[in-house]
Amino acid sequence: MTESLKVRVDRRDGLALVITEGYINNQGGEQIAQAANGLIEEGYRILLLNLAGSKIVNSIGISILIEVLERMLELQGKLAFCNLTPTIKKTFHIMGLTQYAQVYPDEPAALAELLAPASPPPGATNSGS
Amino acid sequence: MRLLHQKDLVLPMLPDKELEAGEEASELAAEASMDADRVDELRLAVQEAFINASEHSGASDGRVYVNLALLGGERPELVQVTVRDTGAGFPEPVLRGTMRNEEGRPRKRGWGLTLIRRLVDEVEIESGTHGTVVVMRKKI
Repeated sequence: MTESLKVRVDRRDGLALVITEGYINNQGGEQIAQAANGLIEEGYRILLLNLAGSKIVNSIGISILIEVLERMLELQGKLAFCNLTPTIKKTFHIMGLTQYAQVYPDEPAALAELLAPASPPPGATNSGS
Repeated sequence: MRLLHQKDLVLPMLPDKELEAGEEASELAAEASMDADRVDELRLAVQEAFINASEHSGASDGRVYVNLALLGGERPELVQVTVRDTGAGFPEPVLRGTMRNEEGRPRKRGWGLTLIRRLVDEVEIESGTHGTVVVMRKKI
């Protein structure tokens, strides 16, 4: 029984979406890493992984996602996730991903926050008038 | 508590066979009316135990032995999954399941037993030169 992962990339203005379907094991993790590394080379610094189509993972696959996360953090980028099952979310928490990566309930919520203009620093005033 | 139902599986140490073990365990748990999220947790724990056996045991017979058992009284109360191999035992770092590697940095690999301990209610591990047995129990 082998379920190969399907990875689809959707390039948006300001971020890239990586949409997965299937089992995230070592091979699946490598496929995601390959897609993510390609997007990083293209200049994307915000990646959103939509795991709606991936209900089953294993620790090796997630370990590879940690490597992608480390690379994004080194580049001052962001790696975010959405549509996680409760078990995958719990696994991410146990393995420490949620300390450094944002997790959103769904794609609209993730896009709304990730693409929102940066809020002004505390104390800043609107000097446009 | 008595044994209400059990099933034995002997699976080869081949890629993705852990899915078969996980699926069988989750079917048993779901039939016993375990909550769906807990079923998913059990499935992942069984997959991880199977992967550990495949990756670390070095068993010459190339097989993983899985026993699925439903325990209870009038009604099912507990699912118990035993994953056994006939290898040389897990290396100490795998058994320890520490969160940091030798350099003291957060560990990337070797999360299997840590996850298992967090995903099920009880775990017993016996590992020695004749193999490893991981017994996982999750309440319905």
